[in-house]
Amino acid sequence: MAKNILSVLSHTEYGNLEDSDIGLFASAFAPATGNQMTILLSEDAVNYALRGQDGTGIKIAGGTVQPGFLIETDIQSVQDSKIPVYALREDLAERGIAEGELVKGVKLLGRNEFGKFVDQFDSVWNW
Amino acid sequence: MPDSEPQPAVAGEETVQVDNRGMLCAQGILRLMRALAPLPPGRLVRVLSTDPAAEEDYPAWCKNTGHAFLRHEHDQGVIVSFMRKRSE
Repeated sequence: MAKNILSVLSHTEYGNLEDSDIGLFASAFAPATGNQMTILLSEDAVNYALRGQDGTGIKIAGGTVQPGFLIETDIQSVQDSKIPVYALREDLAERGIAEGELVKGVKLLGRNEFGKFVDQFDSVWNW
Repeated sequence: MPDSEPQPAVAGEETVQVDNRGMLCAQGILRLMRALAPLPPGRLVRVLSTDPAAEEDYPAWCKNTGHAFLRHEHDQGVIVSFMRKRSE
């Protein structure tokens, strides 16, 4: 039976030769399993919602991350694949990120809405 | 054929190729998503994979995201999957 899953990303990747966030690409796979996935960006992971970041040309320990850390493309792509993306309003504000700076389609969620929001899911993944 | 059914691939049709050889299907799906994002609706996409899970994962992923899965072909150990981007 298909599950309704919330995937909560709360950290950003660093020191990783992968070209995307591990939680993000695991979440992107959910439609192949017949499950409905929703992504919530919280804490430092709200930085993923900021539009206009260029993650190409990154080198770690002399190795180039190929094709680059394409987080804006990935946030847009998962939405195109019917995976809604939310970001916590207060965590954005604490980091100085305004609503008008977000990747298109990202929805805002307030902390006071969080409990009711989580109740609609069968399970929650934390990354 | 009803409009709602995906159009089969036509010989010579312009195709976007995604090379996922050597990677697991989960990672390959993210690359497929990236490739699909800028394409116009209806564009034919050809995915190369070596992960046997591609046989089941791509049809299931297409079914649940609204894209049209067309078929697999096999070429010297490579699974070649054809799919068409959904209408907006």
